[in-house]
Amino acid sequence: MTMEQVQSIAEQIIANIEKVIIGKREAVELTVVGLLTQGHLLIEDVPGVGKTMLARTLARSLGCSFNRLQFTPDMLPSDVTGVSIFNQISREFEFRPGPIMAQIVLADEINRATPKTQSALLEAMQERTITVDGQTHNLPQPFMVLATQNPIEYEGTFPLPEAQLDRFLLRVRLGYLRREDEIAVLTSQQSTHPLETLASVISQAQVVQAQALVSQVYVAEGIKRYIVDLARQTRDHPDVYLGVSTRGSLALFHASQARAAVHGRSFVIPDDVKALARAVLAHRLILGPAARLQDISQEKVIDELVAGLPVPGGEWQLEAGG
Amino acid sequence: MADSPSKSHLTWSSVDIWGALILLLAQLTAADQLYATGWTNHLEMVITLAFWGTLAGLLLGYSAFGAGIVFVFALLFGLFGIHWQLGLTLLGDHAWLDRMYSVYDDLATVVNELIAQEPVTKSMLFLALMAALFWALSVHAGYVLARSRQPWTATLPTFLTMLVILINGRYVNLSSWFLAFYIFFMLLLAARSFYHSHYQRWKSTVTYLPELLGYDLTRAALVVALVLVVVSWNAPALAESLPPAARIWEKASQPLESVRAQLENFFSPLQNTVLVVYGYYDESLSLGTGQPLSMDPKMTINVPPPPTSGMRYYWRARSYDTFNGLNWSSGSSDSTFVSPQAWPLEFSNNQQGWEAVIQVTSHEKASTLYIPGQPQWVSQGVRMELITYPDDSVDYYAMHAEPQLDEEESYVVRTELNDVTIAELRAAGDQYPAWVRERYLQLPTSMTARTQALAEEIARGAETPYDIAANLTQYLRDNIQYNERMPELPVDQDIVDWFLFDWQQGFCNYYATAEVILLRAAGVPARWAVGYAQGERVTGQGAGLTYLVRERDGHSWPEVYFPNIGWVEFEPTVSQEAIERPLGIVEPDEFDLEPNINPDRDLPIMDDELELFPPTSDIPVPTPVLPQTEPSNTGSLPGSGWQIPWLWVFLPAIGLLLLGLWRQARRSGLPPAPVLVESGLRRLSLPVPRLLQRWSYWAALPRPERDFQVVNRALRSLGHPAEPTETPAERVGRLSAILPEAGHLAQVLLGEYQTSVYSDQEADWVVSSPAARRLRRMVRQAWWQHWLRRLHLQSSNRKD
Repeated sequence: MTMEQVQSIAEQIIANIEKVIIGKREAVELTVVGLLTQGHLLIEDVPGVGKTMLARTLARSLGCSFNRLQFTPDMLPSDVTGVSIFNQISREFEFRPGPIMAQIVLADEINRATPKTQSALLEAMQERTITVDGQTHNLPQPFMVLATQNPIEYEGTFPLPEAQLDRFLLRVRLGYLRREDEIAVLTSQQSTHPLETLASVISQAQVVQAQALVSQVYVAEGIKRYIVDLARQTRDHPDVYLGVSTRGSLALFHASQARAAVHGRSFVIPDDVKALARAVLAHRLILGPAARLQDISQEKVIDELVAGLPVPGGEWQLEAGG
Repeated sequence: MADSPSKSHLTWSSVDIWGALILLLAQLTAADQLYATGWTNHLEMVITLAFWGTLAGLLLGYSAFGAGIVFVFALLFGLFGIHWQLGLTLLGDHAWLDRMYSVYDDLATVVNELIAQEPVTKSMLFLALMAALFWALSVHAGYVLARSRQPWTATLPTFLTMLVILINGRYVNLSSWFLAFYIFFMLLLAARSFYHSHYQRWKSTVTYLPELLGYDLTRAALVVALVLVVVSWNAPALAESLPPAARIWEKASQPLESVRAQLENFFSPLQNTVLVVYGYYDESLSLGTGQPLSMDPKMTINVPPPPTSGMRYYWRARSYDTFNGLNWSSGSSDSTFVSPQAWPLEFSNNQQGWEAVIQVTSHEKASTLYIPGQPQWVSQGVRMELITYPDDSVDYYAMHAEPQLDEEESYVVRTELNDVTIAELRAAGDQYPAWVRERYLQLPTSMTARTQALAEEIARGAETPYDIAANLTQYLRDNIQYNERMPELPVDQDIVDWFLFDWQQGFCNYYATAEVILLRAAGVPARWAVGYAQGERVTGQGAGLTYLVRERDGHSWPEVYFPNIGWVEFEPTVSQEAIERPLGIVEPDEFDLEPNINPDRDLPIMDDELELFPPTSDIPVPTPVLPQTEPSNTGSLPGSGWQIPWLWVFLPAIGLLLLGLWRQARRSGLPPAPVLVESGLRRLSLPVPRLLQRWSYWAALPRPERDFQVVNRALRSLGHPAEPTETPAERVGRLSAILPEAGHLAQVLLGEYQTSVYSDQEADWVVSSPAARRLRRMVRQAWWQHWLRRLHLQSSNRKD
């Protein structure tokens, strides 16, 4: 497989998803980047903007199995991972897989579950295995979790601890549609939902191949420095209480590779890093109390840092001192 | 397309701008060669005509006119241009009709003179002919190149003309370099035309052409042409430096030399047909308007050191006694052959002083002998131009070797030189013999009263003829400015009067003539001598001194007759040092009156000149050096003609060597030179100049990255400079927004730049460089439009 093929796969997926999710090109592209990086997505937005639809469309496009987990406060870890049940006929314990045992998993309103349940999910996300009654079960390939979170209702929720937020590769915000796009949505869903007629465009094997190839994308030393400098600057920023971890730098590094591949390039350019910085880094920051009082958002901090950091290959006049 | 060019539709792609430019340069080089001969004033008009002629030829060639119409146009333009340029040669504020009248008057004069076989006094006809010639050559060249694309046919006539100029000109070295440049341009033009015509055909047959083919071909042609010309021009000098090669070269060049000799004979009748008279030591000699004199060596002279330090040698070729206000002439004279055995002759002028034996080696074929003082014996058979006086004594004007001297041939002269002191000169008195009074007090009829008055005023208070001469010399040295070039001489004014009172500038001919005329007006007999000044002292042989005399040492000076002493030189020309004569034994009161001794005004003797002359008592008298016993050692001197100074061989050779080394170094992966220099400086912890930093930063960039800088520069020049935090893609996006038509090119550059900077692959400058070039052009246009619009807005705002 070549980078061009990866690009064409990505384009096919994006085009397919866009049949359903209209006017959200950026979010869709980020989803594909997340898929190719083998990362997980945190979709943070108000209800009804298409979070669930995005996950389902992605699953349908890839021909992958799809499960939805609606988190509630009374949910137990076994409701996620599954349980071992004693089969009285065979007189053996039998593993009944939970909803996590799917390739695309939508974890809806993840912040409504108790931390215990949350951590069960997050462990599965990180390890790509689940252990029930001492038995370890591998999760299917490709595996991707799309978790959603409602930023408005905080009552009766258990906000994700920062350490766990760090495990999401990207945080995507969908937002409301533009007027014309919303009209287009109404039109497209007049008689039937387009999802029902959606066909898968690529095979799961192709996805796995593409994921393997993405790691071959070349990253120049200058770009690596740029990524690390960006991460380091979040740690020194006065409004930031806790900056981006090394896992964050790594995430940005891999995501940039995936974005380059999505654009058919075999090398990363600074534009990849810039385009992903918000989605990859913002949710990993903990802002200081002063910044929170001033209503400074994480995205704003990242934007500010990106706007102030010279890009590699952007120097064209000799700076003072050579 | 080349088969029927006249019918072809004119498009921009069929116009070869570069070819036209090269041709223009070539024609200007040819005109410059003529100008550099300095044959006459106003030759610069030929350059102007060559320029406009080539342009006119090119335009007519590209036009759709038939050959007949083109000829008529060229003729009309040419007539206009030549008249215009000839009219401009007249100084002052005149109406154009008057100018034309004057031009035609001059032309008629010249034609009459030619018919009457008199010396030509005006250069107008020559100028007109040269102007017409160069106009025709240039129009022809431009027309042929544009219409039939035949570079050789276009340039050949001019080339032949240059050859004629080279052979007739006096500064062969300089001229031959112009010719070399012309040949260089010819080769370049041929290569360029070949490429251009084939390019059209390739294009029409849709042959694949690499993007930079034209650039590469032109560069290759440039190098080949340069190497060819440099090598062929330096071949004689190169060959002579290697003994085995010298023998081969001698053989190879023999036919060439004979052809040259033939050509020289063939063209020799041309020499005096249209030129202003310049028979240098003819019986008659005009003062001339000055010419640039070259460094060509004329002769080398071995002499004994003079007995007194103030003495200087003057190599006299000829003396003149009669001045008619315009030309000097040497009266009626006989010519007699004098063999070495016929000496001594009975000269009317018995020079007193010391006897010197000098040996002269001529570096070119010559007949005139250069003899200081009064000759007593010459080793050569000579034809002497002399005059016999009623008392049977003889006086001579000039001596010509018979047979002619060959190159590097020597002759020996025993001559009587004066070493008189000032005291002796003052004591000489004024009892002049009759023959002196008869011949050397003659004055031109055109002499003005104020010249006479000046002579009398300067002579007033002077006690002796010597004082008069010294005062006059000083007067001229103080009041006349030296200038190698003279304007057109006045027709309605006495030249000496004009020189002394109006123009007050000139060169030796004018200084000397003025002094002779003033001396004669004051009653002191004097004559005009021409030849060479002392020249440059080179290493002496044995006890003697050796002088190298070059063409630029050409000189003339006044000689004053003193009874019982003979002819004594004076030096009124400021460009030469003043003559310092020993005082001799003088009465104290006389000393006070001495007008010539003025330490403040007289030029001091240079230190090195003092070294030249050891104390008199130590001087051993050199034995006569005879040519057959002493082989000439002047072979190592640069000869005249085709030999080129070594510098010209070495510089291109070293340049080529460095170029080769540099290319080799670049290929073997060495960093560029400025980077090396910078790192060297840093290692020595020396400050690195900012300019060098910039240069080495630039030089170290791979070419596609350098090409991308066009985008950055474009943004800056369009008033939206790039930020360091902006990615290249963002810059390109911004440029595309400002200049949408540049979007595609900028994208090409971006692709190559990103590949070069961010990927592990190499970018292709063959793609990026042409894009950069095109983008640069586009941005330049946009920039102009931007500024013009701004100017327009400003001016319209002001109106509001």
